[in-house]
Amino acid sequence: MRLILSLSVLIALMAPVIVWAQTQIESELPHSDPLSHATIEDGPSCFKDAVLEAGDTAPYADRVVDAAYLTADAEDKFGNGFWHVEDHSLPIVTIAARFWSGAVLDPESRQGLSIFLTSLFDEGAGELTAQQFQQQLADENISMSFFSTRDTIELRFKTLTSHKDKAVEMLKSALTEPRFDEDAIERMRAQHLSRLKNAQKSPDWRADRLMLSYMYPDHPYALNSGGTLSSLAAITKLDIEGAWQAKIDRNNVEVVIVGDISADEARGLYNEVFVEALPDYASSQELPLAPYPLDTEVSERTYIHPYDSPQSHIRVVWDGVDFYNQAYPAALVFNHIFGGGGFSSRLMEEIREKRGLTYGVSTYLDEKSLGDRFILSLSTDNKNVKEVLELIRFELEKLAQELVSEDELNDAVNYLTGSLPISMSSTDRTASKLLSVMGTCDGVYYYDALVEALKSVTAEDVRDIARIFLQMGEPQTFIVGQPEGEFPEAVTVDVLENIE
Amino acid sequence: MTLHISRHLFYKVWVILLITLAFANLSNSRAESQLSFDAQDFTLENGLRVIVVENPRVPAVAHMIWYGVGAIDDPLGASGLAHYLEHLMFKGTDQVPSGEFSKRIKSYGGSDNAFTSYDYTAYFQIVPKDKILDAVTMEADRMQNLKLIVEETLSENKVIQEERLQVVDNEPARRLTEQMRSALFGSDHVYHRPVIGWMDEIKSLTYDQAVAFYKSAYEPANATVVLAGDITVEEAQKLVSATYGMLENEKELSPRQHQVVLSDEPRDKVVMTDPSVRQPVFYRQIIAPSYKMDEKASLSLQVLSEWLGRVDGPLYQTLVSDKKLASGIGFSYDPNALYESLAFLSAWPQSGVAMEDLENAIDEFLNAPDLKIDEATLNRIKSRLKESVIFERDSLIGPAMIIGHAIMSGATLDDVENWASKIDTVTVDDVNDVLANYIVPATSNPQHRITGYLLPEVPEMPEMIEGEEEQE
Repeated sequence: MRLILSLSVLIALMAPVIVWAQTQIESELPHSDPLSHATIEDGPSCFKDAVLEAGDTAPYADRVVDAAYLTADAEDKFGNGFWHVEDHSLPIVTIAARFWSGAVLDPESRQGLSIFLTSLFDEGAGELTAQQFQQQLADENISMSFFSTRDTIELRFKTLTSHKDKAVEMLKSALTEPRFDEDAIERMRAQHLSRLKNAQKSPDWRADRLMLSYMYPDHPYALNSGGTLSSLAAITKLDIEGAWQAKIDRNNVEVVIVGDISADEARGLYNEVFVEALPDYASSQELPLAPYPLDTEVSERTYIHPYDSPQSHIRVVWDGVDFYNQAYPAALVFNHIFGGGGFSSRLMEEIREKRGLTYGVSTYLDEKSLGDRFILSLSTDNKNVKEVLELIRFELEKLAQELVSEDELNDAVNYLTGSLPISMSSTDRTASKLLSVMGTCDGVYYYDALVEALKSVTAEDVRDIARIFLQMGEPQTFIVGQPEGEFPEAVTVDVLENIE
Repeated sequence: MTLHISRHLFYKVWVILLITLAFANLSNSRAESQLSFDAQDFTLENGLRVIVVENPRVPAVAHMIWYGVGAIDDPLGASGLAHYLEHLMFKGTDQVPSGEFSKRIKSYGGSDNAFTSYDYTAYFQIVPKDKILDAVTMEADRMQNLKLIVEETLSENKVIQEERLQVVDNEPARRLTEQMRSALFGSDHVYHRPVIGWMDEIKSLTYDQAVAFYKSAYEPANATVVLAGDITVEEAQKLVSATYGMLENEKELSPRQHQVVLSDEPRDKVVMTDPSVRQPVFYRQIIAPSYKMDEKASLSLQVLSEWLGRVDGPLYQTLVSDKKLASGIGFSYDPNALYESLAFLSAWPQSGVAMEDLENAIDEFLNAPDLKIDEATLNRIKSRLKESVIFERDSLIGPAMIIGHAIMSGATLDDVENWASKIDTVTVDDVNDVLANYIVPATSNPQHRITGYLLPEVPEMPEMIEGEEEQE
């Protein structure tokens, strides 16, 4: 958890030294979610028809990344498996893994339990105290980090080949024999409380908190995955041990191993750490879906959190397009053209380049296992809010009415396909990008299939996506600041939920 | 918040890269005799320097151009001009209309951006190998052929005002550290102004100023190009000869002159209160020699910060784990600067701990006579650092960033390549000397450090009120 402080503080200290031309927003490709697989009833969920299994011959000649599906036992074609990319260009082995047991499972009175748990994995394990454990990691140049999302608990691990045995031993120890010493728990509790208090001075953080509360009404997603002041104070050692036992399970883990490691060695590593060492509870928990609140009255679609700030921080939220939907590639193209493509997007052109009303505007498809959303965010001077919201609506209507040009379509498709190999230029980014699409039926060929699907998207497809968003009616709009002008039907939220 | 983290991760990663992976934190892990990046360099007839790092792992190339001009070259009363021009560099030429640059790069599947620092300004693109000629052609084109129109400079000025509002004025911690830096360097030192500029000066920047600034500094002889990725030195030579090689210096560059006088006025503590603050934060900025100013001291400070600043190090173990006065604490040092550089110390007081008490405990820790690195610890730290360089190669643009920052801050390519063996020369006495000379309050120059408190408007804890009263 040392990153919490060092990241935020260092940024605050150092950021004035470097000033960027453009906002730093990464347009990430979607995260997959096996949980939602079962919830999809209509429409096929593969870009390719065939479900690929271990050992199948590659159906693509020129692949985005040479990933293979392997099982722990080479003979067992259909057993539990993992993904592997063999790359000996550097003496580095990287693992990315996730357990499908994130913050969404935390009880309301124990919000933040998942993140609390993940902060304790490097705070002592087995015979080693926190300091001894962290010193060994540092001395051996092992990078091991855990974090929690709403859906998952994530692991990122990187070691030099020369320290691999030691590194794997420490990873196994962290997962299977964490100490949860009282003093480590109290140290992390203090850090989490500081983090939560520190975040509150950021209007962007407040805008996200406001949005999450109301875009997932009456759903665990609306809770604060970072914890509340009272829930963080209430979490006990017993809670943490219980969460560890319930969440770290061989049945809900997905693993990608990349780098200087052969298939056989990778099998051995996977088997040792993620199969044999982990418990086998096979537990499952039914969770409710979090549908977009379409049926809400028009009068309840704008939420304002009054905040003393020269700018308004804005989020606009539409219903999402499911990762497994056949229209998903078209939605990616639409997103790129509308607001996701940085300086190639229409919103950036109209709002920043032509009018100077913002430093940056972006949109993205937010993938969550129980409820997808399409989210826009920007900040602008309080006096510009009305004008900016009008421009957003106008650009969406335009995309729903007029077909995009051949050039604009091609540029978007070329970006989305061409950026894939570039985004896999390091072992850790390759591992993360592969992990994010595990569980899809295109399997290790997901990105190859996506490239093919993107190339067949038409201007009509893009227009249809815009129409779908438009037909949802007024999107939910969240504003933190002192926006000028009348918002007669807006809900005023004086106190944000799930902070205290 | 998951959402918050994911949307800003890229930004954070870059900032951290710039800080901690600067050339100084690099080392050679393969063997000490080997070089960090095996970079090759050559210089064109027009004076443009080219550095190539071959990395054929994916069919893509990162291209960066670094100009030897930055915020320290902003004229008096025109802070923010270098950064303003950096934005305007995207406003087009006869060949590439306004706004087209980034669009074309995107249409190749690539990405691009730019950043301004005190000492330099840099632009970069990452593109598939077969598009590198297009990217370099456009970059070479805008070095001398920028066509600005007044209306666009006006609307871009508004963008920068929004940027300042969003990045600085809305963030109390940024406002505080900006004020601390300004007070620490003092008005006779160019480093006292923020790179982005003061708001009233940003508003006053004009088209004429931007054009004059551009013409004064954007020349081949004032630039260093770094190419990293799936490109050989021979390919790079052809590429740059056909593009940058066609440019001539339109005028002789005048030498850069900067006022760099540190004031000997005592530095008052900067206390900022803000109603949005709930977690108080302690900051200290300390002037320390950059690599360019003092190579030996800088290398020693790098070892020191790896020892002192990490979570298994003595600062965290004492203040956080043992005394439980802080919930978090960090120490870092940036070796990259043409003039003085900074070390940073920051901490979150535990709930109920007065800021004054935390500060006293930090000073007591630093002043303790037994705070010294020993031989065994030094060797562990040096071996960590030397071995870590291999990770920097696991990236397309990372090596280009590291090399560029170092070169533009006055280091040589040999310094970067041989960093590990240089680190190896640091001794116990070297580390303990820089600790005493620059960091320990009792033995270092009090005019070379400044402390800042970020506090809630109404202190939450009664102890804190007491602390504040004593302070006044």
